[in-house]
Amino acid sequence: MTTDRSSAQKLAPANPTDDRVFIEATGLKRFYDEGAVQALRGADLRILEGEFVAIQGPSGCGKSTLLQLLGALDEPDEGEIRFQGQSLGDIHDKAAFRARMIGFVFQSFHLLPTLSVLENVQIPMLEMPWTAGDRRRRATVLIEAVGLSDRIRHLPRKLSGGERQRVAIARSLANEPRLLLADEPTGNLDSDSADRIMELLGAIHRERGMTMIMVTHDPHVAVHAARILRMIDGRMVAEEKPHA
Amino acid sequence: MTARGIAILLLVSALGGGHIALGQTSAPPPTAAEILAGMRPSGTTSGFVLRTRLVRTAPGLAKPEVQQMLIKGRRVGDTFKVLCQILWPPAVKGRALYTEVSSNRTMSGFIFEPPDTVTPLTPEKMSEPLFGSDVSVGDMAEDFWQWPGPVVAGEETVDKRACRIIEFHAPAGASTNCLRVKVWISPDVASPLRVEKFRADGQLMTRISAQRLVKQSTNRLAVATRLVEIPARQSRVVIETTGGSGDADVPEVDFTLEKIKGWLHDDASASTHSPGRSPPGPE
Amino acid sequence: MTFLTVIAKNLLGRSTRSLLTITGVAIGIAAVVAMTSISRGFMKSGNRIYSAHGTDLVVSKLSSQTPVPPLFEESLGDQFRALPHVEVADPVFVDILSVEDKPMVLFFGWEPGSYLWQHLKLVQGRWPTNDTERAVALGTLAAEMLERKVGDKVQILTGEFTVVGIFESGALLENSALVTTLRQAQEITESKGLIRHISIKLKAGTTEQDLKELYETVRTRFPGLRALSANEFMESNLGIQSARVMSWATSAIALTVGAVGVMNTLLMSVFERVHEIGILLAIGWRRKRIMAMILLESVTLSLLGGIVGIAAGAGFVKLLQMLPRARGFIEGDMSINLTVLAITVALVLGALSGLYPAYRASRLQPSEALRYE
Repeated sequence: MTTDRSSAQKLAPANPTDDRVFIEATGLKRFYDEGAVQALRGADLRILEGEFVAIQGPSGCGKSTLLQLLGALDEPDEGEIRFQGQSLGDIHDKAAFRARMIGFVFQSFHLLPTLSVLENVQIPMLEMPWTAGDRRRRATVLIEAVGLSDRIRHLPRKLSGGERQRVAIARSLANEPRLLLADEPTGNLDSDSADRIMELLGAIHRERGMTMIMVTHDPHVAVHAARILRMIDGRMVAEEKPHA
Repeated sequence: MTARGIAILLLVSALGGGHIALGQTSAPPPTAAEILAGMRPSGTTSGFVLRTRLVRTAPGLAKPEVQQMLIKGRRVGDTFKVLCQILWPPAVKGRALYTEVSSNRTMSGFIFEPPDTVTPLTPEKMSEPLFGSDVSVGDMAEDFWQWPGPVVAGEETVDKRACRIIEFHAPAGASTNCLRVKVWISPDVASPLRVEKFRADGQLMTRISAQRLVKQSTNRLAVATRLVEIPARQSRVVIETTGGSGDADVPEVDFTLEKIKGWLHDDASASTHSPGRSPPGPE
Repeated sequence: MTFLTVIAKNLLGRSTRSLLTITGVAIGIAAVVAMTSISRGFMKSGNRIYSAHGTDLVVSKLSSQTPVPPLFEESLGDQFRALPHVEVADPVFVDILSVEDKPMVLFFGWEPGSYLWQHLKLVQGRWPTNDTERAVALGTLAAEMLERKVGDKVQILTGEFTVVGIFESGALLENSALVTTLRQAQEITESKGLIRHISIKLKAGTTEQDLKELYETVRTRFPGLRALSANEFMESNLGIQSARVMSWATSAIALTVGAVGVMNTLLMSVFERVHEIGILLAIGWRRKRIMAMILLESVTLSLLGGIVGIAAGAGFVKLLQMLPRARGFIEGDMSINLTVLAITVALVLGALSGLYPAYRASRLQPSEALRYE
């Protein structure tokens, strides 16, 4: 179950034209307020393994909702999501699934305020069968990778916005997930920090070949991805490949 | 014995009701005479002893005043005797008031002040102040229970108990400041739950209310703590029954002057002296 | 870093919330501890009066209506001396009186040669030895309350007694008592020839069976009188029974109030962390782990609160004992049992209070939880 994928991914750069479908979503619908509000009106998408995809649209278009469904944080009212052929609905313990497969980065960082940087990064690791020493080592490596070794014992309140997001990114990689989901990762950052975060995400994608889905309202941010899916009113309306 | 004196005597006269055997008839409502008759056993000998503790508060008093008082009563046929003796504090120890009411409804008795002063209760004495207070002897010694023509004045619930109110009016020519007395009687309780005395001009002189009731061995309720309020002097006296028996055989001799004087002398001879603490009295 | 470290850091990091919760629990537990301790102390003190004497049996006229047993003929006491297995049978007069300006105190009358004097420790003066002397001995607390020394006078009902001695007793209630000779006590309360109970010491070697027979004999030969062991006698006292019921009732109320307070505080703190729970679910924690975390935190806080509460309750009782009003009447009894009970209550409360919200919170969809602010 626990193979050391990170080394394999570092050596072989991802090939986006690979035909392996990683995630497929069909006809996703999601209602709130007992049907009064419809956030998703039949969204479809298909994401290949190793792709870096951005979902972009105006606020209220349902993109965050879509991300939550893809991350098994929520369940659709209609429609289906398949991970490498397996339907999410069939998975009984979604939390276990998330622990192994998915890393999250949030707009508001969401670090645990009472724990240090080093401890925050280790939090997801408690679900893995690693020793305390293992956990510490892996976390230290990750923190180094995001360039925060000199802040390793700090509490979140002592960090700037950009630094906190970096910690969040390190945390999201803690269990060596196969999928990284980012919800407006630069939403709460100034433009300098935002640039640095996007650089970091890009670097992660290049070095590890992970599948990454990012949600943003900002077209300048979306452009960092290999493919942009545009959303309006709960539906996918267009697709772009900015670097093609 | 000042305002407290009133309190005592009202207590005593309230006790004059004796043991209750109140019969309840359905309709028609009982007359005052019937209610009162039910409160007095007839033709029997009975007595009681009450140990009481009085605590008096009034404006101008730095600390509440405390007194220990012993009250003894004895009824023989239609003659009713009551003796109140102050036991403590030493300054007023030994003062006593004795009253006797006989079948012809006259009251006699005396006031005793140690070592030797005995003042008989005559009609002239009734209008004099008692022990130098602003209260007259007559105010205290009045036994309204003997006034003629009591009437039922209504019903009222006091402390969740249904009471009948009986009113007494002072007979013409009586030398007293108090013209009217209202008494609240509940069939379950051996003494009135409330007594109110009014002056000629209708103002309330004194109110005595039952504060705490206890069950006696006969399963009847008795008033264990009374509150006496005198609005004119803004004073309140709480009289707490601390012991004694509602059914005791008190010998006749206890009501004699000899015996009343005597117990103070017993002390003087029986105890060893210590400087500054000898009781007043002849050596 | 381990799971337990996370819990510790959570509790320490939210120090204000943790302290408030601990305080809430402590108050509830302190109330229970204080009330139970006082009532047990009261029981023990009462029992000790008789066990301190070495009294095995008490014979009295049973009545549950009065604070002191009813009077009966002293002459009956003589007949008890003749019963088998009875070593000593001493008549006792006891009453509760208001003395001078003080409220109720215990007033005892014992025969000068009685074994009952022996357990008292004379600290000043001498015992009343003469039936004709109006002499009284005061317990140390009574002497303090009345502000009397040896040689002073004290007015007891119609008699002026001389204080001839001051004593100390192992039984708290006796320390606030006045003791004189039986005759004097009877005379001053106008109960000549009457007593309230007979204190009996049994011969060494009396068996259970002997005792049973003795009870029967008393019951048949002396109708109206009952023989009880010292313990039973205390229990039959109306005052004791009332005190027991009162303390049970107040403990129950304190416990309920405490429990509600504790659960409320814990519930509040959990609901405040729904958002955090959402994050944990999102970043990979399983529901079981989240529930375990909340449960452990609740239990830890309750445990700490329990410990603080026990200390506070015990301390409060000690403080009460020092107040002038309570001197001589309040005695705490902090036994191991009570401590264990308090800790158990705290733990159970913690577990229950953590369980429900933990379960509810972990059942949320992460996206819902994340939506909480």
